[in-house]
Amino acid sequence: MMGALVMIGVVVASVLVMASGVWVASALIAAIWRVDRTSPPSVSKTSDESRR
Amino acid sequence: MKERSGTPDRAIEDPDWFGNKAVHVALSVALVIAYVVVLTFVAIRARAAREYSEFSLAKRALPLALIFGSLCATYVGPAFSIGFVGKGFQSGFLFLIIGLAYGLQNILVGVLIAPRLRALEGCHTLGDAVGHRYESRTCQVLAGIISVGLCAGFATVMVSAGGLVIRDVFALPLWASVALIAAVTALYTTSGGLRASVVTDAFQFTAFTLLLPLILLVALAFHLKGGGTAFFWHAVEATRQGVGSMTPMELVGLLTSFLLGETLIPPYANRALASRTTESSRNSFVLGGLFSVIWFLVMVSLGIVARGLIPDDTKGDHVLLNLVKLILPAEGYALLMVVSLSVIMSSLDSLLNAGAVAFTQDIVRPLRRFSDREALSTGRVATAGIAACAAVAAAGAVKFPSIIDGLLLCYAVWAPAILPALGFGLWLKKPRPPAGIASMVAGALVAVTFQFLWPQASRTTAILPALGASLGAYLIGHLLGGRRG
Repeated sequence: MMGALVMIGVVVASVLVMASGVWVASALIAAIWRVDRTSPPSVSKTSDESRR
Repeated sequence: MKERSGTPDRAIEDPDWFGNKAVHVALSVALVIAYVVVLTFVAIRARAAREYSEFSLAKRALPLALIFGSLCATYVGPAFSIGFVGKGFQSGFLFLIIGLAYGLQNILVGVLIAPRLRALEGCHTLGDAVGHRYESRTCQVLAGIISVGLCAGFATVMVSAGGLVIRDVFALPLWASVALIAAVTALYTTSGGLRASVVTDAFQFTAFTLLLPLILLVALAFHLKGGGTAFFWHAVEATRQGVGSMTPMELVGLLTSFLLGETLIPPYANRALASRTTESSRNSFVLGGLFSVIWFLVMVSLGIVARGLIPDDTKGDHVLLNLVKLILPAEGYALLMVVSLSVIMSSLDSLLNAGAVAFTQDIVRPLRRFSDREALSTGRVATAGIAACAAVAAAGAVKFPSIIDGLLLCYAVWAPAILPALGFGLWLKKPRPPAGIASMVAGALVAVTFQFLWPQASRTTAILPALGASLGAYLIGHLLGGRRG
């Protein structure tokens, strides 16, 4: 029983790590494909200031 | 690829052996070359920095996912991957529990420090933030010197580890291997600055977060005999051995090192400062802390699975390599080299960029006024300079017993030298410069002195007396010092 629970935990952790990789990969693809079309905004304000 | 043992006998028994071997070698080399080509493409797409603010902070336009990926890719170096697999093999879940201190540290930084750091206007570095809060150039220059020294030290450890991997794949001499890894990493970091570092980190993060858990799942599904029950009992036995082999003092030293040793080292601080908003700065650290927990679980599990598959006397740093050799085809070895290069280069580029920006912003700028273009040029020259110093040191000028020892030495200096001054500086309403200066000097001196006087104990415990000295010096400086220093 304990063995099965530990195994499930390990498999879930592996899947979560891989999912993190996929999430970052999608942001990476978006960033490198968009880079030629849009230049990054010159943001120096904090979000707190932006809200004001 | 290097020849493995038993080659001549196998070649005599099997006439096709050389043909098969040639195919495997060709595929392996192709895999490594394909990785380098894609990495180069990503680095080129990141484009060259045209302004200093782009080089140092990527114009503060980086989204949460990229900051998160880069942060995790930076802290997952050889110690948190290959090293943790070895620790899982030797001491089961013990290092998962110790690793929780690291996750907690990231979450605390995310909640308490990163948003305050990000909210400081016009700050490019940690030294900038310290100088800004204490209103003292001396504090900024001192923090800058410590930052550059730490980045150079960490970079030496990374170049050394990368050189060993390159030497193993291409059978080059060590000096050529360290020069190659330092030059390739410095090339794209010099050109693209922080944005190139973060974008390539994201690519490297993707590579190792997909490949290493895949190796674990393959091992669990097809090679582990006895299933979950066997895994559980391997873990229990190894954890019991690990706990028994450590004194309570060593355990406290290790927990302190993991809790404080890498807190807000310059590359992390740069990412906190470069995020788009205070929220993304906070969230990237909190997510980074949570990710470290599942990452450590996967790494120590690889080590525990290996207990049932490879000889018990295998050295810690060789566990992952031997496991991969056993369960994957020959190309798996090249795959592991790709993973190792990802892990090392993603940490190295961040250290080079952070060191160069700290040099420009905290050491040169307070002493001399210069234009944006000159600052950009200085940053680029400093990147190449730190890479060159690290390569020379790694090629033989500096000796350290192992990768983890080298890292622990850096941790033992960083936490006492910077954290009290930074933490109080951000939280006190009117921090006093003499307190910051006394804390940084005392923390650094005690940590370095302790390494030479008691090197064996210092691997885990130097951080404790140095931290005490730093806190004591801060208190004395605060009580005796005036508002301005």
